[in-house]
Amino acid sequence: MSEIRLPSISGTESLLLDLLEHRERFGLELVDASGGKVKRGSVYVTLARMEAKGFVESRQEDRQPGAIGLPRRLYRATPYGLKVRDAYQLLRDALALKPVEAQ
Amino acid sequence: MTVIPRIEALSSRFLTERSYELIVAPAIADVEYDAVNGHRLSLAQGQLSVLVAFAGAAYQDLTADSSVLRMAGLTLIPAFYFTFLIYLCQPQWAEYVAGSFGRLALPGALAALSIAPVLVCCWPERSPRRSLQPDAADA
Repeated sequence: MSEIRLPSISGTESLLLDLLEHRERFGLELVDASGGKVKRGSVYVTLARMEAKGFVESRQEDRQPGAIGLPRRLYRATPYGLKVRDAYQLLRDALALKPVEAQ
Repeated sequence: MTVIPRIEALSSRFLTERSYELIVAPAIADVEYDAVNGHRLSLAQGQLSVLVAFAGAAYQDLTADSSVLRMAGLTLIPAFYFTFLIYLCQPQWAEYVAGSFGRLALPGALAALSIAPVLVCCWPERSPRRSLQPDAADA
C-alpha cells in the first residue's frame, strides 16, 4: 500500500495564507500586515518554501518603462494552500477539545 | 563595493537561480523601493534584511540535496586528521588546550578552519543567471 504524504503547514505559513486570501500582496505589505510576526529578512524564505509546496503563486510586478531597480514580486494564495490551511485549522480545533467536550 | 552588489556577486556563485529570484532579488527590490519611496528603514537595516535573506536562501539550497552531508564530511576529515596528528606529536599542548578550553575546543577550532576552503572549493556549481530586468528577459 502506498503511503500518503500529508502536506505540513506552520503557524507563519497559515498567517501568510490568511493575509493573501483575498488579494495579491507584496512581501513588504505582508511584513507590515503581520504586525511584527513575520520579519522582513525571513518573509521571502518562507514564501519561497510555500511556493515550493504549492500554497502560493507569485509573479513580478508590472513595471513602467524606464523604471529602475529590480522588479518586486506579488504573491497570492492558491486554492490548494487555502484548503490545506482550512484542514489544519479544523484539526487544531478538534485537538483543542477536552475529552468531555469531544463526546 | 557596497553590501548589495557584494551579495549579488555571492549569490551568482552560491545560490540557484530559483533561490535568487524568489528570495534574494525581492529582498533587494524592497531596499531599492524603500530608497525611492521614503526610507522606512535605515540603509543598514535594509542591507541586514538582504543578508538574512541570502543566508536563508543558502541554507535552503544546501539542505535541498546531499550537498550538506558531503561538505560536512569534507570539513570533518581534515579536522580529525589534524586533531589526531597534534595529539600524536604534541600531546602536552593538546592536553593543555583541552584542559583550558574543553575537550572539543581543538577539534572544533580545526573544523572551523576547515570550513572556509570547503565552502569555496566544494560548493555546488551554479548555472549563470539571466537578468531579472523585464526588458532583458523579454528580449
